[in-house]
Amino acid sequence: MLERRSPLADLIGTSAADMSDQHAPLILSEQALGTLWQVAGWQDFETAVEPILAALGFAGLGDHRSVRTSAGIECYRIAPDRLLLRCPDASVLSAALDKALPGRIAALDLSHARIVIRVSGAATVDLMARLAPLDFADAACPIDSFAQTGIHGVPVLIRRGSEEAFDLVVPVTWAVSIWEFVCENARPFGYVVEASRPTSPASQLPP
Amino acid sequence: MTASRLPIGGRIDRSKPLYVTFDSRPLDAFAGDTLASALLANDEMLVGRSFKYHRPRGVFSAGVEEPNALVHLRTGGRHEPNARATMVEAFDGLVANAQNAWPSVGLDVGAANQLLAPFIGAGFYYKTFIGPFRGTRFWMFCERFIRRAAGMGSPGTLDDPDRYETVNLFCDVLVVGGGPAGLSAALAAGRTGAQVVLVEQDAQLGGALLSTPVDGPSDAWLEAIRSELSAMPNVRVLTRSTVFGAYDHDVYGVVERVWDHVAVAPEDQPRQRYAVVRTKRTVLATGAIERPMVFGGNDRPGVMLAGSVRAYVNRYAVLPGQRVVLATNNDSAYATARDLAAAGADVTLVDARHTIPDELLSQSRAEGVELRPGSAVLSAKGRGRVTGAIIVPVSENGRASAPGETIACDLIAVSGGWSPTLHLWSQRQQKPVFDAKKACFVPAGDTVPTMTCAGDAQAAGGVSAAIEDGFSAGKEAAIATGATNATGYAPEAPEPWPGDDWTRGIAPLWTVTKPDGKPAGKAFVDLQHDVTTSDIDLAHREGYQAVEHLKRYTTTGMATDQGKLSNVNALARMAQLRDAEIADVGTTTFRPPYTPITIGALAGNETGHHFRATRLTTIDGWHRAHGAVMTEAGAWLRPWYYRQAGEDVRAAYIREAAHVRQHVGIVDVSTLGKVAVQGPDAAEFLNRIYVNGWKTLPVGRLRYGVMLREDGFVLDDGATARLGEHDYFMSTTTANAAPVLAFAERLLQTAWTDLEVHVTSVTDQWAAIAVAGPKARDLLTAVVGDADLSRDALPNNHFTHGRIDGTEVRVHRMSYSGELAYELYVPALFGRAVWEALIAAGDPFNLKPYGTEAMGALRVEKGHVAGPELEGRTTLKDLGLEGFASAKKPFVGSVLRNRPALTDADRPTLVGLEIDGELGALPGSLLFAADGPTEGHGEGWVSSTTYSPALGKNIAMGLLKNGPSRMGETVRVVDFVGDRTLKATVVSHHFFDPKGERQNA
Repeated sequence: MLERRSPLADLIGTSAADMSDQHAPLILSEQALGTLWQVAGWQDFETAVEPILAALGFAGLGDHRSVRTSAGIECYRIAPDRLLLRCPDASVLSAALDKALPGRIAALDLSHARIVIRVSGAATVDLMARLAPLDFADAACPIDSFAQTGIHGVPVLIRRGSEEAFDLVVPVTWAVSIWEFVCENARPFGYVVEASRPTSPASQLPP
Repeated sequence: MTASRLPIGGRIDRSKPLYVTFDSRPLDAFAGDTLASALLANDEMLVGRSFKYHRPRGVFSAGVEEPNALVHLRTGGRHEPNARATMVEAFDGLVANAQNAWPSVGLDVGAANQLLAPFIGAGFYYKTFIGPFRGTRFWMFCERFIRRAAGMGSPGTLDDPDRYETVNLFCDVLVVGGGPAGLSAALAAGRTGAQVVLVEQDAQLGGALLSTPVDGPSDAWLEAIRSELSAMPNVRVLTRSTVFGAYDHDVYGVVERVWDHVAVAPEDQPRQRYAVVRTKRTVLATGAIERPMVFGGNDRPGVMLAGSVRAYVNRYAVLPGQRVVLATNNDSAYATARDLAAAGADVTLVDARHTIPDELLSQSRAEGVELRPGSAVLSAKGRGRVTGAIIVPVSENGRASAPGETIACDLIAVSGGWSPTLHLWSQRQQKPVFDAKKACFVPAGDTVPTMTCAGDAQAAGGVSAAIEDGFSAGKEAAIATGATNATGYAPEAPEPWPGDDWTRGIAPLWTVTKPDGKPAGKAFVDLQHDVTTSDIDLAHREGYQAVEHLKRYTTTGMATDQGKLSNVNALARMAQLRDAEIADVGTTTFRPPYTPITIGALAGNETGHHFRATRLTTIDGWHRAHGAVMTEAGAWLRPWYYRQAGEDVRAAYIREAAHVRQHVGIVDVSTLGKVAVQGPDAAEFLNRIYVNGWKTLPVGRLRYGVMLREDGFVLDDGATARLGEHDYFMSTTTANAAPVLAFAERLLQTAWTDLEVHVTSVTDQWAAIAVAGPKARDLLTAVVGDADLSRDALPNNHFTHGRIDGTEVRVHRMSYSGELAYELYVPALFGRAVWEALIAAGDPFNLKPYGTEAMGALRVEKGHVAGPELEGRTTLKDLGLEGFASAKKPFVGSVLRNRPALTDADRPTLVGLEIDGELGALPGSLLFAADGPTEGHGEGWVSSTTYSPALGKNIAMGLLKNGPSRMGETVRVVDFVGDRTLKATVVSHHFFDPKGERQNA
């Protein structure tokens, strides 16, 4: 099998710190994306996607700011007629997509199109305020909310995973530049890089 | 002895002496000083030279309005011109130098300009340098000298070593200004529970209260408010921060001078921070700026604003003068008179008003202040510094009504009234109204619903009124955002100082003149730009009477001043001349920034390596590890060529291109735009967006397509594969990936809402590798499993799926180079592994990587169009692609491509050029007939050029008038930039293998 290699592998490999005794205000790491599919439709999208969502344990389309989770699968409504489904197990998603009505759903594998940068630590909200023009205060950006915005001019999806952790879902080809930009903004606070936890799910081509 | 440090008092820390120099002279300074206060404490009265006339100037104010004391600050890469000494906090190691003077501020050659003053009044260059000759030749000649003489300060040329950063802040209520009104507003809003940001430009909160005597009643008030605010977690206080711009949707620009108060910021810490504040409501508690008085010599060092003098005495423990003439037309100067007298100065208070409030009269006399009601300063005496003042009785219009009396003095403190600081309010496109009773412009009602002015910013009238006004404004602003907690009562105001209500009984006095209405000497309305009353008079005589014309003709109120000091006096002078009211003259709109800000702060950390985000393919690491020299392609960095020992780019690309023709090469083409086109109407969508037909393309096939803009010009080209019944994979050129996607989205969301189609960029999802050369098939057959790549099974314009070491790949049979070639589409995170697998398997086939330069050479040899030909001005016909256009269906651009201008037979069309000689042509060179004139834009141009290893000669592609009919003709290729002319033979642009035998092998 060939190696699935993140563009951040070299950067993180050389700067990762021993995390056992670190109390840095910020921790930067790459997280496994798993499988990411875009599911899109048209005017009958809600009806057409219902069998897929039901198979995954979701009811309805959800709103445009909240990440819904079901059995480890995350659902992001990124547009009125588009969802992103993120799942650690490609086969689960594949089985659900098989339930789509022919011609009524456009499913698209984006598992190689994004990587996930996680920023965590006590200074995370302050760092985020330097990266994106969004209000990351608890009231405006609660845990499990997400937003599609830009960092350094690059389109990025930001998900708040906990009070002190955000995941930046970044296009693969911009990942190095965004990583470096995040590091640059983290410097005034002090940060450490946590070793990556890559996974190697089997490569899947679109059906 | 004139200016000096007082032995006691002030808000400075005498236990912390600082080493500060000005023009290499050491200054005694303490923590808490500004550079200006340190200069005055050391009797440095002459600190700069004026903009135009190079007149000697000294410290005039104590705040952002400072027009004179502009200095060079720091050294090396941290050098900063035009720093206002009044805003520079003194720190250990501070190095400052005078600017706009040579060889020194005391002996300045530029002062000769004063002799030319009669000839260089307002607008002199408009009139002087245009006329003598026809056209602008004389102006162009003179401009270089004018530019050299103009401007202030010298910018640095070294890299700035400091860090800057940008931050986004959000709040319910933004309070601008940390004086009595602003503090009260923040307190009220904070008590409601609203999220509050309080911004204060000073290092300390307090505003005007900091200018009151230490340990006075306002100190206790201030401390109580500070304590309560600091205990509120919902209130964020930004000191050393200036709100420089107010923009639509309640967005404000703030610069925080985080570490400007030290010589060098701590490691990794930003020197300055640019904060973009988005708020729901704003309270502008920006106070008011004292106005100068206009009289002869009012720019002499030693003429200062009265309120600023009070600040120097009480805050910095500096007595700017021993014998002081204090000129006023309002109550506020009486507090300065009191404090000066208490500090030991000999004070003569000259009040233009004939009637003075009794309590001020009696109090001042009790404090030993000599009062001169109904009088004003006609002119200041002295050259390098004030030595006296001529005092005259004046009528209401400012004219002297009797002979003057000279009073010896070393300081003239002036107060011509106050102007509310409405810059941010004005930046929201509002025009203030003139309040004749208060003699100032005030905000006009509730014209910006989300912004409230409070305190002196709306001439509330005294400290008590400011506190109540601010508290009320803060409370209302917070409630408007939904905050509900009780605010309690406004804090009880401290005991006011004498004359704290400057709006009471002010008697406007715009210019003090001799009985004939003329000032006694140069009387400045704009100190920073050397604009005098005579300039205003000149503008009036020459018809520049409208306020906007006045500003531009005389430059009054422009640049950093933005009307802070000059505005009202200039307008008042014009009103007098026009015999109009100031309200009728109006005022200009103030522009951001309110105070100068550094470019560094605006850039934040998007500089140098982080100037913009860079895009890298997932194979990038391999390229760099194997000697690739990278080149920019838009935001991408791509391998330009792989350097071998001793090679330059030319040698490398010739080697690489030749290798591909002989053996096999691979090139990273992941940068190609890739778009997933999905939906039941995908074929119809493609049919509309491309000029050729798509409805018959079967699954497993791909097709070359060209798309036009609506105006009929070619937009882009590329191949699209049909992956499934409703799934297509479109590729675009690297450069046009984003425009094509945006173009498609726009059409789908506006014009073609009937189509059920989604377009999604998958450029990041797929790495792409082109494999080209006679041995390409052999290589791939050895590497790719589960796929039949034979000629019959996979002819051109077909694709198939396969596996490389277990990883699924898609193999497209298509050629850009003209060789037998394939494109591998690989899930991006496997891109590098697949590339390495190919390299590892490539030895038996003599596989080599090649870069973009060789790729370009190969495509020029083949005659394929690319970015240089698809540059937005070419049509299908121009490029010889009209055969692709379907006559059976409409498509984007199908109507307008037939405009007469686009079908003109004379339009330049694509040709090949074989260049004579050893030198190649340069892109952009113009084409001329061999024996025709070299005039105008020529008959065409060179678009792409290369040395062809296959042909052994320099070739080029270009567009030439009537190109197809000129085959075999010799033309001249003229490079006007390099001043070089070559000869070339016009040939077909299909230079190499025109029948396509190699790519169809």
